[in-house]
Amino acid sequence: MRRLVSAFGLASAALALAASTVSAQTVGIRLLRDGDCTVTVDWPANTDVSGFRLLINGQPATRVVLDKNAPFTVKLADPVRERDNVTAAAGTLQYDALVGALPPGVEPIESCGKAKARDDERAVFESSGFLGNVFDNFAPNVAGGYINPVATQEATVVKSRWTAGVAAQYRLFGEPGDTYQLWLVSYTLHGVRTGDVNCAVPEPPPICRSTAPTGERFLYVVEHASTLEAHIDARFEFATLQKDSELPIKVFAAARFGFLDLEGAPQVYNSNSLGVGVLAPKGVFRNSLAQVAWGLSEQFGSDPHWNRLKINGLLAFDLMPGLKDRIEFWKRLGGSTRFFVEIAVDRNLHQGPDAVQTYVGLLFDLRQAFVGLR
Amino acid sequence: MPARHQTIAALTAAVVAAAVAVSSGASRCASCLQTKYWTVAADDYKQPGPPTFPETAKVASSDDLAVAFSGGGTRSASASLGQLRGLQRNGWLKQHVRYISAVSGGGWAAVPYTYSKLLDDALLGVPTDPAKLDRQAVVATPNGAMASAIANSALTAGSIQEAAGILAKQSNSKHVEDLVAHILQIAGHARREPERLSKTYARLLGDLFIEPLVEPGGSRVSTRLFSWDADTIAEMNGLNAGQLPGDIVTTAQDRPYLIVSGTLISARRDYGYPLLMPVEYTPLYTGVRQAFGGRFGGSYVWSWAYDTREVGDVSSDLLRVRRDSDRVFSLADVIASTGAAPQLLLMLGEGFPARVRSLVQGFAGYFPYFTHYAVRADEPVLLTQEMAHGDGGFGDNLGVMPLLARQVHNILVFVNTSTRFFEANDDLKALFFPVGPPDGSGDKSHNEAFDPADYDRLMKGLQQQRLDGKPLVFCDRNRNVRANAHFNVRAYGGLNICWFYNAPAPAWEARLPDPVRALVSGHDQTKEGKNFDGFPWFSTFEQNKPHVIELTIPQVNLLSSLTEWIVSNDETVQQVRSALGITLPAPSAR
Repeated sequence: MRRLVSAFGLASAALALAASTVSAQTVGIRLLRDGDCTVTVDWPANTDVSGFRLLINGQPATRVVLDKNAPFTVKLADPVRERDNVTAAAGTLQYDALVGALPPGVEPIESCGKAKARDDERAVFESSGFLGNVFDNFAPNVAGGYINPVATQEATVVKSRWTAGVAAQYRLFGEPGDTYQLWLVSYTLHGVRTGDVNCAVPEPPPICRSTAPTGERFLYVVEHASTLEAHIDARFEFATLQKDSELPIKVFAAARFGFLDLEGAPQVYNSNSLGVGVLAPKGVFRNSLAQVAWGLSEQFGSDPHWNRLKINGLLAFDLMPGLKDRIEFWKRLGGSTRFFVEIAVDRNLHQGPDAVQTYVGLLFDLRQAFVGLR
Repeated sequence: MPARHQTIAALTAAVVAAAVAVSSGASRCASCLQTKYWTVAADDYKQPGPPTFPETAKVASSDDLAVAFSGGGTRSASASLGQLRGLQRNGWLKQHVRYISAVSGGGWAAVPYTYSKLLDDALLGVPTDPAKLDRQAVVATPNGAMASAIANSALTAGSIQEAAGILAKQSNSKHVEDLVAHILQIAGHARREPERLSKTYARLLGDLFIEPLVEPGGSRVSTRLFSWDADTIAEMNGLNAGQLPGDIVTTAQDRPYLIVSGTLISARRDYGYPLLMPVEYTPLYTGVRQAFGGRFGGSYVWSWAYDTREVGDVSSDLLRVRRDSDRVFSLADVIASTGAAPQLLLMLGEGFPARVRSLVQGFAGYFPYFTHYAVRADEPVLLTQEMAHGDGGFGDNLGVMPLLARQVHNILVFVNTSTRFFEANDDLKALFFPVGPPDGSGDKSHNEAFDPADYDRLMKGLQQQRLDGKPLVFCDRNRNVRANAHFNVRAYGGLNICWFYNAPAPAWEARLPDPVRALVSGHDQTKEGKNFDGFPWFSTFEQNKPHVIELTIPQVNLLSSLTEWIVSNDETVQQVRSALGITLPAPSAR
């Protein structure tokens, strides 16, 4: 019986509500429902709203924004909830409203603003340092001398450099949920040939010691670099494949402007290209990519101009992904340390020098280089 | 929209609303238990005359006298311990005091005292003339179980267990989680409600202040519901046909009625500062006295029915709520909430760089979060998501407001502060005029209850005591209490109030044997004499680094000895007796 009375009461309330809307629009706060992210107030004509205040459950909501494109409408950061008491005041006027229930069948809203994209976990700006090795898998022996034969006392055919650098990317246009996004990507790579470092001395430099702090090793490579590569990419993402899957893929076109500087070289060599590729925007392999490009590489003595095929494959992945994703501390420090393996092919399809290099190493929070975090 | 269309729309809405009301009424929490509830009108503070509380009739047989223990971590717990011992020694506590109000560290002493089944001397220690204190006993033997608990309040061991449990959960492997839980269980350290991160602090404090003090011997009080007395249990069981557990913890015999303060926090991102709402945890009921909008406050429910997963139908004085055996609102939760001093600071992330602010704010999740609901006449009850329930000291850190709401006419307020100069104490000041701005320690702008002129009287009274080298005790008579909307307190007159401000007492110190006095004065160079700087104003945190809240045995023993002596020395007894409007036993009658 009580339910019927309640039902009758609700029905009466709904009728009364309708009756009020039939009459001319009055002043006050417009009808609010659970989940609303805006509050619209109709003030009497000529009301001075310069001292406007909004209170929710009696507490001043001072971090709201006025929507300039609508009649006096305030944008909220969090949605109002059923039976919240909303008060709008300006001058001597004050209006109160109680937030109504969510209409039947409507999903409750968790937060205001665009829902977080499910297929893109990248922040608007991301940066990390990296530390690792690069191996020349296919290169002319005239560029030898990679290993210090005095120090190692053994002959080797491995040609490698210690590398360190910085990779960063910034989303110039678009949001995580958007298909079309334009990114600016920068990258530096500093290299020290292993042949230039003697690890056999009693107190070897940090790069020889695996126990040395990451920051110290990073700085050593930067300070003693005999090669420097750097480039800036403009990357336009224009399609998303496998949306809502565990591994969505962004398809992009990219233009690269870069250079290579070698110790003792007579000039800085340009290295530019245009290409297309795919990239993982979320998940364990976030920021892994594969790219095919056409461009120039001036460091090669013959055929250095715009007739070189450049293939890049980068696999970056989280260490202990389950832990990384769940421990807030790591996430807030810019993400946990990640592994990467990269292969870079730069070849002339005709006769002429080619290069195939493999990079392996760790991506880490760049602040480790400066504050000694490990 | 044309008027005809609007009418049709309205009729449709009416039919839908009616259908929803009928159908939803049938399905709301059908298997739930029943709790009593009490509502308080939002404008109750405007009403004349004394209000009625659920316990009013039953506590009327004791004197119109209450004591309030302020916040202040283990410093306040130690001081409160001494004050309880002194009141007991005076013969005032059980026989005369109607209410104990406690905040934060004061609650860490008051809650065990109210519920402990230990004998008084075993719990509070033996009252001792300071002249008879023996140095060896002072530095080596805690005076009573409560002193022992405070002196063993290192969070290290508990934190390691918590860390193990949390990491196991983060491993994302059920096997690892189960394995760690099993190991902890074998070691006798099973974590209560392990899936709730927000119970971390409650688990730590429960093991320190509830388990060893309330029912020692492994009865796991922190895993049990709590209530008032046998009558209450009988009433609850009568309504719920034995569906409540049979091991609900009840208060010890003859204890004053306990009110512990907490703070419900609504932290919308729109707010410049969160909305802080005073919560009362009591043996019989829990709730927020004042209504804040339609979702928060304005009602009390039986304490076991708080922090529920589901609420159902409401009738004239009963409400259906779900009770789950794996979700227990316990005394550990009460002391965790009232003592969650860091929670607000963490939520605000004040003083931290923007990059780590989110990280810092995440740590607030280790402190209590409970669901909350407000009961409104003839409306379905809405259950909130789990919300932060922080330290009572975020509002009134002295615990005075709940007593004023009940129109108690004789109050002893123990200000167990670390603020050396009472002139600079914001908690005191805030009762007389607004103090601001709000910050990570709370919002003191809603605590006005007394005439500002009374503040001058209080300051002058304490200053005179200080000049005379006496304990900082000042009593004022026949004061008026102002209505307070935030705490929903009605105005009334005829209040007699005695303020006990934490400070050294030269007469107490003079009575100490030389070796003991050397400890207090900082002249004892042994390890037992370490960290006595600033006695009795010990820091709330890290008095003994790296320990967060732990005090040493001599620190606890001597601070509690000081406060016991202040309460029970002849001059104070006389001062209090002559100020109050009730008859308390004279010293000769003790």
